[in-house]
Amino acid sequence: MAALLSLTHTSKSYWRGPHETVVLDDVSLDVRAGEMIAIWGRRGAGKTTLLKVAAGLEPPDRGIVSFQGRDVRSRRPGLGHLLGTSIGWVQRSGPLSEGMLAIEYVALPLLGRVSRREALRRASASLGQVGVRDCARSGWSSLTDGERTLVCIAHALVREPRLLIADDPTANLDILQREEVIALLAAAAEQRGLGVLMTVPDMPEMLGAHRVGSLSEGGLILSQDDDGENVIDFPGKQRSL
Amino acid sequence: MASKHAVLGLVIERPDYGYGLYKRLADRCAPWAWSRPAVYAALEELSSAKLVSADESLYPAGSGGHARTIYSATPGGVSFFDEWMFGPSALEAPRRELELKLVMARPHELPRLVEMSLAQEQDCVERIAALAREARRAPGGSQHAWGEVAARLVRDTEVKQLRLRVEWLQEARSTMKLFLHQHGTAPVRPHVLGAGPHEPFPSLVHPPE
Repeated sequence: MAALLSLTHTSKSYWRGPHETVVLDDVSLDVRAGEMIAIWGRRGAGKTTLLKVAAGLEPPDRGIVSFQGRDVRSRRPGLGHLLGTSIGWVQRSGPLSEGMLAIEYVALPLLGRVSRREALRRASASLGQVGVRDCARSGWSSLTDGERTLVCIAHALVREPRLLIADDPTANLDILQREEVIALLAAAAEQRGLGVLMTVPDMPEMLGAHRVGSLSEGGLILSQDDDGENVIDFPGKQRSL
Repeated sequence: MASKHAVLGLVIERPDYGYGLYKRLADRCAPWAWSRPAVYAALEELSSAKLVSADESLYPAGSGGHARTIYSATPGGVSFFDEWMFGPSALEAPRRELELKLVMARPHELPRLVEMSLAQEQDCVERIAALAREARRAPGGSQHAWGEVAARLVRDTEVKQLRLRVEWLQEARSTMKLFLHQHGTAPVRPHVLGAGPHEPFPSLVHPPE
């Protein structure tokens, strides 16, 4: 089964003066179409760095990151152009302007690529897919934490990426909202053939995932392959969510 | 896990008589609170299995002239203990068996215990993955039968217990690595904050003019 995204023996360190802090230490990971992987780690375990390396936002010091079988370094201009197209990143911060409407925020990645009218139409559809179409005309500041998270997921999905990366999408949510978000992401993986790589702040959120992992001191311990019942051969025909 | 492993570990360290072993066990492994009869039962079991040998002819100093049965480990006992030390630890008794191994370990055994903590964390992760498979197979929606709700509660409880265990394993591994680093036996640097040289805090008391 081909992987959408592969991290192979990747390592990453940060330096503070002469002192090295190893954040990722020989981490290998495959994310396949149709599966959701949830990684848990304590605060400061390196979860965000793992996601940034996976999304191409930061290069690894060692190892290879490949997307759809190709080393991202061989791409021009690198993985950066994949972010937003083939890779969707679920933001947690939302728009800079608190007054921006939810539909405008979701449409942002499309502006300049399609007409404004088409961008808003797709944004509305994306909001509908995550179940918050009725928030479309609400300003960001008036949304609840749960609605904001769902709008951010719609924002990441609007360009129909193959892979979705989410950094603690369930943080600050109550238990029912957490379950809703996890179920939504799992449904996106299973029904749409999306690969989902996310970190979670607590372990119960891992129960919706197809594979789970624990990150500490830069080392990733990942569960063995699932039975693969939801994993889709790449390239697979995407189905609507 | 049985007290025989702890008693055997102490006998390997130093031959001793029953009550002496009980006192050492109480000092060393206080959290387990083993009783004297449990220690004698363990010695009997170890003797029957020829893992320790009993010598009644010795009159050790401080015995007041009384004969005492001194227990020593046999080569078979040492092998048995080593097999236990580096064998898989039961998940069902949270942490306890691995805790005991940590208490009984000699420093040169720590690198292997670091590896074993990784193996046990892998077991925890696999168990969470199995629970996740169960959860995905469970019917969705808000209209659950009580049996399904109860199953979900049980799964959540187990995951929370697994989280505690994983956190403890990570903590133990980090501590072992730090110990090995500080004693110059580990090539790997521990992943700890403030690993750099410390500078003294400035005094808050003004020096006398």
